[in-house]
Amino acid sequence: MSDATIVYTVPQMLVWDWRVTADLFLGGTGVGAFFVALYADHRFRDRHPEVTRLAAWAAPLCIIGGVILLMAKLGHPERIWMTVEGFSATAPLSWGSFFQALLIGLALVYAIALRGGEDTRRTRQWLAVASVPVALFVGGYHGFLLSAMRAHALWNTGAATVAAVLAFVITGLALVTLLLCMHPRRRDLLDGIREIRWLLGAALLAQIGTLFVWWVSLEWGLAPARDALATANASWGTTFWIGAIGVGLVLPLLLGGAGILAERRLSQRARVALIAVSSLLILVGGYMFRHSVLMGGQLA
Amino acid sequence: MLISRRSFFKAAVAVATVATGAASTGCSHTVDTHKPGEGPRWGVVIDLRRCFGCHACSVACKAEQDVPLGSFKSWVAVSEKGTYPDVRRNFLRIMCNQCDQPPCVEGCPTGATWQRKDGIVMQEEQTCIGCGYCIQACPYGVKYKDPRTQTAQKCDFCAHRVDQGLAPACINSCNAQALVFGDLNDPASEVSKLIASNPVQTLKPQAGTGPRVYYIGLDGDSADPLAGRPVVDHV
Repeated sequence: MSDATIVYTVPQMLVWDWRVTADLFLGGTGVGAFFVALYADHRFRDRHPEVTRLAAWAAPLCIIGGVILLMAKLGHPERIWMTVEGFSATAPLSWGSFFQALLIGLALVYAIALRGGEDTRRTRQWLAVASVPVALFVGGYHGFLLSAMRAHALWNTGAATVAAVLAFVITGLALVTLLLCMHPRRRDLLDGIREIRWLLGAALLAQIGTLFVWWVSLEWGLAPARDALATANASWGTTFWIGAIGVGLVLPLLLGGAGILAERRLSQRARVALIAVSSLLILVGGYMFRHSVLMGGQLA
Repeated sequence: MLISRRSFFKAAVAVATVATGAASTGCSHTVDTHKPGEGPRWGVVIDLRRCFGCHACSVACKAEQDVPLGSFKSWVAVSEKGTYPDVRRNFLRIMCNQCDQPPCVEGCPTGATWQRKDGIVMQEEQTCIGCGYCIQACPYGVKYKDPRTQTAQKCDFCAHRVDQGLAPACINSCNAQALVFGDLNDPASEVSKLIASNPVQTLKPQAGTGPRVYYIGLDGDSADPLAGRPVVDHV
């Protein structure tokens, strides 16, 4: 830390707010839901087509919602077409805009193609082929956008991108699970997609590990990294540790574990309620994770 | 016939390659600035041994560039070091460094932030979408979002004056002649002579941006342009 005391300087403006968080959150959740749709179409198509339909429509709607909120934050959203004319190969936002728009189109076509059932199965498979790399890019882009910023030590780590990828898996799975909890056939559906819930648990554990590595890389990093962590912690530490980690990761894991242990003793209704609450906590925590990282990172 | 796993992965890689190739036909907005002999490459030397913190340069910048209240294209940060009676005040003039590898230009998705051959990094109001990426990308915190136009803004070395053979407004206004502007590609220029004959430093050299604002007498403890800045929300 410096030995000098700042007597006068000018204020620093925070440029990005909750709308950017919402774009990162909804965009990532939409990507996750899209992968759930592709997986469910492959695994549960015959037994539980509702899972695929729910996830397939949730995906583009989430991404579109995020983009709308992001455009509300732009100074001049009416000039968005200039990102096409002025496309820059070195600008993450240029790539993100291009692939995000492409994914929205592919996801919408996929959701509509589901109505054809078996008749459109081959078309959907080729759509999946085209969509998987695009969706992977968009999911990673939401983290890479921040990781690429040399100016902000809190973001400028590889762990930020890995955490973003895991975040989209987690929130996408949680959203679809929550939607299934509201479906009239929820008991059958939730039992039928048990493996997705195991995947969610594994992703939660992986995310805890990733965030720990992120924290270590900052805490034991060079001075700018340590200072960035301290600055972010001072303002957004509570939101991150209690909201993102506690509410979004640890509590759902504990509830999930308790649900597994007490499965035989719980009624169907109680099990569904437990899953719904866990899923909601994951979504809330996922948003808090994005927001605390975005806001805390801007400070340093 | 359903597609096999091998076909799936082959096709996925092909699609990814095509999409990436299509997108990458877009240009980058970074340029190679003039090499010696090709033309001017503008830079500034700030002799902090002469600066006494009068802020004439800050005021001149505000007036010349019509910078709105609460926003700053350049300023002088003041810091104190030591304990009484051995206290010293340090002044640090902060302005856009017109970097050789400007991260704001690299990150701009529309080309609104672009670099001239003489090295000056320009900001176009008409093509800026106000995303704020360039503001976030700057390691020096010298860009801001103009509340009147909702576009990014920054110091451009008073390019409109430079193009007419004049020095930037801040340079002319300095009472202590602490600010020197000139052509870094001209070894006979004042800036080149100062750099050659004095130990000079730049801000955040570890950022790898290649800044072209050089400091003489920079105090290491006062060299962070982001230090101590109160945070405000931008509406």
